[in-house]
Amino acid sequence: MKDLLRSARAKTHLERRLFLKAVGLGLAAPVAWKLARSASAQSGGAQKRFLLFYVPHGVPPEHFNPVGEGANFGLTESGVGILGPLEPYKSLVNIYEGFQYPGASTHEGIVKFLSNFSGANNDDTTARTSIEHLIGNGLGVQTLALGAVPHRAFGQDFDAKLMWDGTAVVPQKNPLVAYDALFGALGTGDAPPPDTSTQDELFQSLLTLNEGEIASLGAEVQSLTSESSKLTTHLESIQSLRTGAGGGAISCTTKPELPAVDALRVKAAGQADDWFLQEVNFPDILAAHLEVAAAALVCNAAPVVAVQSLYANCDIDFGFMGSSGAHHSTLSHTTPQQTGPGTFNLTAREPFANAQRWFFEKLVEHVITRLDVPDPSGGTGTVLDNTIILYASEIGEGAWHTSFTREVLGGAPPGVMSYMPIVTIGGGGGGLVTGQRLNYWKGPPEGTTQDRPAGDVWLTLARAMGLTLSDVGGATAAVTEALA
Amino acid sequence: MSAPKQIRSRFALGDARRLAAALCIAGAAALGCSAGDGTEDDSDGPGVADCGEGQVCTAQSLCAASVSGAPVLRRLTARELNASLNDVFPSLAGGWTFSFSADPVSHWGFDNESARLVVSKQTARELDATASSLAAAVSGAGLAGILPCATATPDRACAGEFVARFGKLLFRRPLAADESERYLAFFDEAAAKTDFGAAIGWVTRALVMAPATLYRRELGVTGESTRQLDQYEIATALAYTFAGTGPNENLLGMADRGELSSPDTLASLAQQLIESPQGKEHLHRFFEAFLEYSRVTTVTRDEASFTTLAPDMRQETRTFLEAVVFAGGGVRELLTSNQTFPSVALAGYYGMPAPAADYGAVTRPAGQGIGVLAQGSVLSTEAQPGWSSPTQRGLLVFERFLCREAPTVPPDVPPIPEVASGEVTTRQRYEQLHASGGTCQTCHREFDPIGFGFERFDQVGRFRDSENGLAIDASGSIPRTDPGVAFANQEELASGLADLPDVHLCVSSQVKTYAFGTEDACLGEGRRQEFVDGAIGFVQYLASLAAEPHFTSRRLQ
Repeated sequence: MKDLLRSARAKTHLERRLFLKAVGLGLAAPVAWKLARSASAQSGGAQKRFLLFYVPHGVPPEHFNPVGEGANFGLTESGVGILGPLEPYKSLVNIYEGFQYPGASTHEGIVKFLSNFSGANNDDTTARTSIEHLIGNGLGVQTLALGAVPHRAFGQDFDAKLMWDGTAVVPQKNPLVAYDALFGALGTGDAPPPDTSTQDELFQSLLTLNEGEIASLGAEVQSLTSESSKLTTHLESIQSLRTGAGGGAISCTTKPELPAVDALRVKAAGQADDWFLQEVNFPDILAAHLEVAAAALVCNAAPVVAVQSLYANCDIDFGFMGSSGAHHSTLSHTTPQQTGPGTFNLTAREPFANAQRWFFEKLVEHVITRLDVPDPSGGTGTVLDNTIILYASEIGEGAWHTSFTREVLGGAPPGVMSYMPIVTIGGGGGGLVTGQRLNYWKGPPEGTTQDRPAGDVWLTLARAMGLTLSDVGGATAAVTEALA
Repeated sequence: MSAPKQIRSRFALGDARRLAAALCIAGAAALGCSAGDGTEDDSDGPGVADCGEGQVCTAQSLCAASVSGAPVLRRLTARELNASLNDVFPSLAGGWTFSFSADPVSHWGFDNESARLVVSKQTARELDATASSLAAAVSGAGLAGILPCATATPDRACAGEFVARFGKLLFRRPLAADESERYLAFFDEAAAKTDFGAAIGWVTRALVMAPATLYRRELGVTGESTRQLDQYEIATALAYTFAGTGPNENLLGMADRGELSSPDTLASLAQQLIESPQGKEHLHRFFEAFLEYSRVTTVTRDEASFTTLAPDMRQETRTFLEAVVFAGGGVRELLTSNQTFPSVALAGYYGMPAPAADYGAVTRPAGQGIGVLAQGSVLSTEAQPGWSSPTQRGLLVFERFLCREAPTVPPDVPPIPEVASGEVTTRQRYEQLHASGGTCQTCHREFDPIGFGFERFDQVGRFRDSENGLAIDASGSIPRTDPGVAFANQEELASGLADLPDVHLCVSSQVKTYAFGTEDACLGEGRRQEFVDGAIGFVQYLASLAAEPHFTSRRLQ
């Protein structure tokens, strides 16, 4: 952790020096920042980005699984084709099958599946770090965590703890706040930014004062283990402020035009904070979040972004897109229906499948199409080429609550298999070999030992992002076939 | 006499867990579900536990005597910090932005559990953003009103005046001389590089971010056998515990004079604070977390006008709680009052007599429910979008009124039979799904039979005589209680609950857990038996906690 902090600090200092030098040469601020970042992020030229897209409650595999093997697979042929919206981008898609989350039975596993944490499901306090924050920390940038109705009113409970950075991260529920923070200062022309060196110096002095106060209190409670631990965490958190967000490298010069954000701004005008936790507003909020995420990636305003769609167990009515019923307890709990040897009722779970497909439609509409543009950050290819979008859910089969590979519908062996749904879209700046259906299930008998840990995928993605992490939770090895 | 055995959840509760538990459970017994024959929880009633050596007590245990708990640093909740800053700088209201995210909630739904409240990296960023925003407001046009000497003599002495006055309000104690000097030295550095106003802004930012602001200090001074909380720690505890904000200058003045020692004085002050507008709001927060009723404004239900009327349902319940709780009521009144307070529009929606004005009192028609568990906000929240949910409603009672554990769903749920809605009643469907045998019923028989008692209320809390033309059976029972409780409808269920001492113990344990920010056992026993017996109500019991040893002292470690 200390090494990471030192690295991030050094990187920020380097960028600042380069930035000031560029400004001194008379370059406009955005261009100066761009040069600074390009210099510090060189090694291949492409600025790598990462997006986590979480969708709860698993999938019905008969509507999800690709048809075909290896590099020859289709995404539209299974039932309603949950992954169908990705078909035009198939060459940049990887499907990872035969992975399991460590003991992450049921939705309770949300607290640990992205960290590959092997503790108890009901442990929602022990420190851990999930993949999107591992990548953000490794790149020395602050992960932008967004969430559309990410928790219930009152606070962040168990079901909402998806992202971790040591402690659980609360996603920003209001896309307008995120947009304004990222892009609010844009569009002011090419005037050089004000000299912030005095502000920076005073802020460093403030932090020194604050750290001293914390340390002093820490000395007072050193015999009280839990309280002392709190202050250790507190001190580390304050120290992290010294490194800043590690960003500032925004490559856009004007505020991005985001229709869903504009529409939400009108709709949410004058509303209380809890408006952003109201289920009825979920579709509008998610659309806006996805557009903010896309713009953040394109503009390099936040190279690592996470979008949490809902919280686990959320019973929002999906009638708004045609699948009436509670997303969790009605739609996802509709069980697979075997009608005879090798036959099953494909229509029984169409409402749930359509609901899950809707998420991919929104991902394509609001994110992927926006990333499918030449990379303005100086890299080669499109932004999508230089990005990894990770889709994952906390369980595999919605009704069975699987956390490892299972056969959920019998047929010609194997029948319809339920895998933990893990999909990536994007090339990761050449870090990933894409266009593959990768299956590592060892075959029957079913059980966790027949799968690889999902941490292997997380480790692979970290490596594809250029990080040299040796371990992610209980990962055993990277998925070499996916690494360039 | 042995301590009452309570099944208690060690994981987060709330709607989600209820929904999770609504699933069929395979291998449920292995997950902690009782076999239903009393072998796992023999519920021998609420005895008095001495919690001596070898005896395990929980927050639900009725202890022979109160004890002092552990010394702690309690990070302010976001709500507490926001209230405190607004109270310290009232003239700047609306001129700055509070940037905190939601706090983590405990399995009881409370956001003030001390052990969960830490300063994470995210908290640190949000704290800095908040402090920075407030600092900008302080150093702006409002400075002259906050600090008159800023206009006439903007110098170090004036800055010292600021640090002394606002430092004391933020830290809830006078600053030590060396402490003041540190902040003034920071002022000197800032003033040398900026102007006076900006330098005061920097000092404000530092003070707001200080651990002395951020933590409620309940450490005390070490004595021979206990740590004795100092006057300012007690003033702080009083203000936050009973009003959800920091101590005002009057309370700090009492601390200055050493007037915060007598248990009677503390209980009296607590009562005054609870009855203040801020105190009432703080007590409302307890009920919102306890009953989750205000979630009604965030959920969707397949009924016209529901979204429009959901805020009315929330206000109806708030008014109901004020009428019951602030009139001295306890658990029995909460569960059995036959009054409610709907808006005129909501009364029409329910199909009950309209009040004289919005949120006026209405006596419920006989046979159409009683108490808080008949409130539309509660019944709508604990429902599915298109139908009632005996499981969710049963689990609300199971967890929050009986303090029993809802099991987690296993990883290997077997196929659930599909039962078409509309052809049978919701109860019949749930009985086929959950309660008629097989693996599901092992757990669902613990709470579904309770939830059946609410079946005369639909998914938006309206009373109904029938469901899709089918007769409704609202009878049921509360498993594993002594005395046993069987009921024919919601009224009998609510009355049966009110007759169970375990229910009063369970609810009182949540009151003291909310007050003290910890589930530690035996912290609030002084008047607990009176509360359990119904001799005192919520407000009196809550106020009595100020007279407990835990309020003024802590154990050494």
